[in-house]
Amino acid sequence: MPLLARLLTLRNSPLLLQLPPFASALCIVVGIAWLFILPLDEYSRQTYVSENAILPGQVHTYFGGSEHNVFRAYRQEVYGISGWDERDRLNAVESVIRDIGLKPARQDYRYTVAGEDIEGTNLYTILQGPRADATEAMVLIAAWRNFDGQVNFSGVALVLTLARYFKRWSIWSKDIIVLIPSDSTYGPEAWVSAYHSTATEVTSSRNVSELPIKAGALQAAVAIDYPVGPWGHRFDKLDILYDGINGALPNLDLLNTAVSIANGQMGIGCSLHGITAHSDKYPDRLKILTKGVITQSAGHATGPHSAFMPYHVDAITLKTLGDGWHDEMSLGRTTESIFRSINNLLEHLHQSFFFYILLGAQRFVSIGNYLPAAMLIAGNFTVTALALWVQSGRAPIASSPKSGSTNKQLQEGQLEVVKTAGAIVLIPKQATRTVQRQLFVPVLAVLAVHLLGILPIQALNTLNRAYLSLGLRIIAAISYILPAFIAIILVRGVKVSRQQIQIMQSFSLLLLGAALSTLATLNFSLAFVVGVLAAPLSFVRPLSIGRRSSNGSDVAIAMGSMGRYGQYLVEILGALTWTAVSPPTVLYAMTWYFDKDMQWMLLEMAKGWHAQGVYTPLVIWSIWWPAWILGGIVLVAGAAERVE
Amino acid sequence: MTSLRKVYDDHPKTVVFASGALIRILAALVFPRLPDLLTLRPEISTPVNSFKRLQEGLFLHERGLDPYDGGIFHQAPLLLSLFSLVPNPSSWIGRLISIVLYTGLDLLSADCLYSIADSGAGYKTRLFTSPRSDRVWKPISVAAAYLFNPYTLLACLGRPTSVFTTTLILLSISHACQRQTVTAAFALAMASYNSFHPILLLPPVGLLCYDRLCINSSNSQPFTTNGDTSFAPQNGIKISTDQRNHPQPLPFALKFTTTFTVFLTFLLLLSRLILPSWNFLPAVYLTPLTLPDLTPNPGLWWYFFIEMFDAFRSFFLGVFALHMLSYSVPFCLRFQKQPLVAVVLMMGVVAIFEPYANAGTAGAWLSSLGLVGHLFEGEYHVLLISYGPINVALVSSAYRYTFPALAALLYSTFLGPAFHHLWIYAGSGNANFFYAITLVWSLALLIILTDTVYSALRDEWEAERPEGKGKDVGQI
Repeated sequence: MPLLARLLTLRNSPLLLQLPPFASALCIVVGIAWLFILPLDEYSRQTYVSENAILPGQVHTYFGGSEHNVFRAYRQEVYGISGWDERDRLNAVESVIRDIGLKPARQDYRYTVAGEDIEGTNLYTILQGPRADATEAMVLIAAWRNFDGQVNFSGVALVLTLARYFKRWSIWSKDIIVLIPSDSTYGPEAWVSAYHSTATEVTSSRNVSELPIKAGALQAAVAIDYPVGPWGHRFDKLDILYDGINGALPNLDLLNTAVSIANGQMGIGCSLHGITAHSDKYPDRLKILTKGVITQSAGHATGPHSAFMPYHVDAITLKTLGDGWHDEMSLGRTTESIFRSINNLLEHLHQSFFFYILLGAQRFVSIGNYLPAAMLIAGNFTVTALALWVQSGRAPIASSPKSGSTNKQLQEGQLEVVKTAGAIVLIPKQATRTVQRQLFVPVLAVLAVHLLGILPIQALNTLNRAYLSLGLRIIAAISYILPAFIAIILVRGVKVSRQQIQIMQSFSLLLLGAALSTLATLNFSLAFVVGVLAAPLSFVRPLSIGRRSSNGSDVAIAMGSMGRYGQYLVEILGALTWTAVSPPTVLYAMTWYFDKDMQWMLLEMAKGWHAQGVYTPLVIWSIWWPAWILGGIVLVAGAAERVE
Repeated sequence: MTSLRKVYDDHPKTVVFASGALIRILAALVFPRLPDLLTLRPEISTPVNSFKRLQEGLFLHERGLDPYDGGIFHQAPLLLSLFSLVPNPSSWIGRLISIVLYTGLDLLSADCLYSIADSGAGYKTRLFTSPRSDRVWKPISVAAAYLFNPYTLLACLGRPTSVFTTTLILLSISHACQRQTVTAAFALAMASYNSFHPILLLPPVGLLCYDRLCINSSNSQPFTTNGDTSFAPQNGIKISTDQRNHPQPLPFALKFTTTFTVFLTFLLLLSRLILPSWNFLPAVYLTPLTLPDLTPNPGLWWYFFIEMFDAFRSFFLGVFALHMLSYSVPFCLRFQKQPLVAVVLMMGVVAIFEPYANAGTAGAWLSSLGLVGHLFEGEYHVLLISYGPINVALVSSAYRYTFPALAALLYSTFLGPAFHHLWIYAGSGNANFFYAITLVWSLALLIILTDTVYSALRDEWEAERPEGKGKDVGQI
């Protein structure tokens, strides 16, 4: 009983009620700091191949000798046709494929986004594995143009040479699909979505035509990005691109296989995110981590491999970097060895991690070590939501009597006599009275603002490209007016109480916390970035500027007018923070920081939404934006009361 | 604003029902792909209520084949006759008509809830008047809680056939409240015919019906209806003196059960007429008992029986079934004074523990908690604990964990589909992810259930001993 009593006492102690803002702040600080300790040796691990069947680099590679001559001939051919128009070029590549002895197939695609047409043709062929039963396949990709828009001369030539070379082997127990899309993003996207589509007709919503020939379930895909002209160029490092759409990642075993083959068997150094000088020290690891978080939170394609991830096909892109002494044959032998390893697989890659953060080509952090960062940040909203809910159940915050004080005012009006079991006690009324919560208006407001989030998504994804930046400007202007407008309607028109505003904020933060912690399991980076940007919303409270001093906090009263001005200063700073960290301003800041054109970025976002299935805009406009607007309403509601 | 308010004040029921219907039909019109998407969600559609499987059964039936042959279809035969009258829902007009049909069912359910709440069965019974009867939810609020509940809304769009069961159960309860014994038994028989488990509601609904009959027979007596708590025990005595007018309990029970059985047999015979064989009996009524289909759902059975060694399977199937059965009669005995509470609790037990649980049934149960809404939080007491020289005032409520439980429901509603996606589509998660979330979901529902039990008992206890009001549980 004494223990229980003590616990129950604790439940009502004023200290506990003042704790939540600090607990929230602690969650945020620890969550952010968490990410910074991950690059340390104690929190990250050396990568290792965990699937037994892969056996990376255990086979001798025979790609070489006269294949080099074939490669040079193909490269010359590819260079020769690169100036031709689309149709002739496709015919020429098709005839090369036919000469190899394979059956070529085509797929046209066309996406229309913001008044812009993205069109092209995927050319592909299926090499039937001599020991395969057409149930499994692996994909070898070389896009005609690489991700930066250069013609992928050597990449396409290498893929054709490899196709010719692979055809002579009798060891393939999976079919090999050789895919040559027109571009690096939308071609693979169209192809892989048609490959997995059950519809027999043209997929009308995406303007993707069906595939004339198919093989079995795709086990893995490897893309080659080697945009070097007919005179050749020796490269230094192999950059491995691994981020999929919406921050999905390939199984770590595929990456490990590529790294261990390139490094161990061929002696080619590997890099990530184009950082070739990697010392494996803290700053470099942190740099790779940051780059990974940024690309994964954007969620857009980073190469031909990205489109495969949503379809549960592990894929990577090998991209050559720098000046060195490795030639195309080393790249060819690396690819051969990777395909031999994938060929060994008995079941779909599943053994290793799907959720990881890479710190270098051979160092990673597993999900158990990094997930708490995003969960803590999402949890801070839930903590504040619970605190606001509890607070809203208490009497209006007219003036909070301090416990144990013998204030005169307290003795007169605030005490209540309670008789129980022979004992008579005086207790502060505030501790006993719990007001009935009025839920209807807060729930309606939260729902309505979240529904409004559909409008910016619709606008930014359907407007013509010429009006995109104007659209964002209008949305930004409306975003800043809307909170004040709604707050005045709520306070003046509907006459909501302070308590209802609190409940509204509580629901909004609860929803934000639940949505972000769900998102953290799907796309950690995006959840983390949005969580950090939305973090100030936990500390938004109605402005008290201009209200009578009794309405201010105890500290302010105690410190007199100077304290009051100090409080105003804090509030103004808070309001400025709220203004600064809004979805539109963050978008503007991003274009400024990365030195990009606003229209270009919005067009890319619209393309990502329509053609790639990126859900980042949904997260921004229907999770973060409504929470930010509701935060603004809470902020302005205090000032609106005063004006009244 | 004021004119809107005026319209609402004048016709609250029309406004609420019309907007409930409007929301459903608009959602289907604005998001035309949403209904078919929801139809495929494992949280809403299970092997025994899936709309898609119904189409499969319908296809076989219309071509003269036995729909129960393939092991896919486990739904009641008369649904086939009903849905063969409706146009094929694969076209947009057919889809709209099916949504309109389900909207009609939801409106009917809401109307039943309205009349149950209106009858006052929740707070005033033969033996008991709640000391909190001044806090009873308005009938219109109960109906609104059903119509605007996101889970029932999603279930309406996903069109599982368990919506029929929900409607029939509520219909049965509302008839029981209006003392229409025969129709109450008939509606309950139809519900049990549709999905087996409502048979567990037979004892509590019978008790409710009996209670209402008794109240009617003693209605001639002067009856204090004010909510003053101090008169509650006297009320109880006054009514109990009047037992000569009451119907005899045993004959009533016999009559109720017989009516139920007769109607059920009639429905089964009727089904045999439209089908070529008796195959439907094991397909429909043995499936919830033997669990042949382990498709994931938000319930507690599937994962357990995936892991189960075959040798123990039948034993644990028996244990799980008996566990559900074991609540039915004890609830009736303990909540003799508040039969509606027993009915609502039993609905909760079915919604949480049924083998093919789904979010729609759970949502309907959460909404029907509004019938006992007076037990919810709101009643706070001053509580004194003497500990040495310090007297500490504490606040406690009859309902204790509503907000945390609802927050857990919110979290599991978001995380469930995400983990299911990671498991099935992305391939980066596994079955344990989704199962963990179904555990959280069930835990949250269970907390609400046990809280309801606690507050109903507390309410009863405080009616007997008003001086105990405000005492903490530890002291009782």
